[in-house]
Amino acid sequence: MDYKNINHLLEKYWLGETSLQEEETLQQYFNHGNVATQLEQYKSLFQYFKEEQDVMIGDDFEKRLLEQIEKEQKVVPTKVRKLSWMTSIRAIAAVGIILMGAVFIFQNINSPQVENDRFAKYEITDQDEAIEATRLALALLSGKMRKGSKKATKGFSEMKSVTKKAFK
Amino acid sequence: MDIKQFTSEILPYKNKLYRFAYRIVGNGAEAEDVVQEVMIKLWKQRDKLHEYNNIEAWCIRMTKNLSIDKTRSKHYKVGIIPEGFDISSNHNNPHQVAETEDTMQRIKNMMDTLPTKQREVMQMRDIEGLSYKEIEAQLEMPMNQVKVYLFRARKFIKSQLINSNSYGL
Repeated sequence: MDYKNINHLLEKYWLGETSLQEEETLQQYFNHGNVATQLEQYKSLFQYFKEEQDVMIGDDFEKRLLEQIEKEQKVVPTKVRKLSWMTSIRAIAAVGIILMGAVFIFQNINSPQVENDRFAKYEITDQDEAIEATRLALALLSGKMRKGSKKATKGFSEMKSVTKKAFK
Repeated sequence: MDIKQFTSEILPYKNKLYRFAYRIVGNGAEAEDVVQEVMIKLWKQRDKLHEYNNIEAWCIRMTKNLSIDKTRSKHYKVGIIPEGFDISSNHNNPHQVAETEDTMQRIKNMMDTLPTKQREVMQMRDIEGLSYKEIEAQLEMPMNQVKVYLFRARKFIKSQLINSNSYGL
């Protein structure tokens, strides 16, 4: 391409009005053509672009990356142990039995109703029976009290005689 | 997505992502680490990749974020010797090699003095050959803004080139 056309493209380039294709033409010219003396000062810029475009990642990058990916897959195993349907049913049944047992025990221990039921059968409902039971209880109490006061009187008499002897 | 699809559809972005990471971290080994990290993340999300309209733009954004994180990390060190230019095979004359290296470094320094957004737009257009629409998507900025940044960046570089030529640099 002649100097006039290139210069025109270059002016458009500085204004940011060139297309990608026109910019490619400029890069070709400055990197492969005989650059006109008047444009020599811009050559280094397009050479720099070319050098930068040729910068590539290391050749072994892909190999290393794929190895890393393989390693990642091994580190995070997503495999889930599959059970046969018979084993699954057994497992579900076992869990069910354990749960039912737990619920039964829990209810027996904590229910106040059960506690009440346990003593309900001893409750006296007949009036005469209640009077008789009260009479027996009071008789037992009075017997015990009588026995107690006898012992206390005896103790007191003994103490009295001892005091008499002591202060005679 | 299986490994075959991943290799044919995602892996080809590796060089573009590498260059992008390299420009931020300034070190080849660190840039490779960033690209590897991006690729592993993509692989882990392989079943969701079809949900993204523009995977390439998404990859670039992820690369950019990870590269910036890398430069902020405690262990980050910028390479003393500039990497990325393998020009030794093109020139046999040691004087020419040194001269070209010097010229490339000079242009790189000019690019580095550009504001970040302007530099990113210019690199995407002039090095990666992306369309305005692609740059708009990857940098998440309106197309008009992309054009304004590109215009300013090129104008600045042009003035720098003319100046350095005038001073015989």
